[in-house]
Amino acid sequence: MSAPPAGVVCHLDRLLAERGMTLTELSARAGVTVANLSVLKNNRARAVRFSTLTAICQVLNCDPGDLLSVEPLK
Amino acid sequence: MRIGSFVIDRDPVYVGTRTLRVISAGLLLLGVVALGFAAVQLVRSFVVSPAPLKLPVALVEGASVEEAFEHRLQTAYAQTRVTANGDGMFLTTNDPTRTEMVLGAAGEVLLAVAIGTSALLLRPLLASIADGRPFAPGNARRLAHVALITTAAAVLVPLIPRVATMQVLDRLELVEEGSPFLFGMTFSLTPVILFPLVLLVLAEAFRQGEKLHRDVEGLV
Repeated sequence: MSAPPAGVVCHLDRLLAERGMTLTELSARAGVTVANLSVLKNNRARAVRFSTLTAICQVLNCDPGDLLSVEPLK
Repeated sequence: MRIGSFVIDRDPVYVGTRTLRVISAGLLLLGVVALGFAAVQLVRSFVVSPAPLKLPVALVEGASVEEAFEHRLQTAYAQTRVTANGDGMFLTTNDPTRTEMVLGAAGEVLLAVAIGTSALLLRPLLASIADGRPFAPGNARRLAHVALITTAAAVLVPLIPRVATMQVLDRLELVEEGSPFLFGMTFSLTPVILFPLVLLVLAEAFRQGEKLHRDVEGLV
């Protein structure tokens, strides 16, 4: 039996809320545009650069696995 | 330092956004004017009463301009005039038929249609380059269409007046045995191949660019 369809889900919302940080603040500190962060946050990104991932993880002090996970599609 | 690396390192802008927008607006104007001119010329050729029609004419190999003048004097003196200048040799018929009038104008009409359509196809391409989206969907297709239009124009525009010339030569019986006038068509293949080929290569480059653009869509 094949696995159910799954997709990458971004947990940027939760990580920002836990740290009391806004998207604009993250944008300024990570050097990633608000537009790109918004695409990532709303799960509309189709690919992520390592440089983007590294910059976000450094600012949020987390690992890529905390930011992204693979979950079954609803 | 090599010239290539100098240019790449500097990353110069070859054509500025403002210039692209000006050219784009110019293309819109050119397109409208050319298509309007084509429509007017086409209607004119159908409507206006027959007026002297000047057509390009070629001579058979070995025939001289003097022979052509002489031949015309003997066979169709009243109805025609032969002139020669730096652009070539021309036969002017004083009483063209309606078909000859339409064929005589058709080359010009087709050229204007080709210019107008190409200008209108290239306008959105330039506008998208100005917007920083050179590989927007449709640009490769537009370039390929311009290549096809250019090929058709390069073949038909010089040939159609020759067809009109053949009609006139036949009607005025200027093509019997020993006539210095060439009853046939000749054209150069260079413009038919060269320019459209360059455009097609460009279209292929844009098609691959569109593919790359789709690949990076949604990349953050």
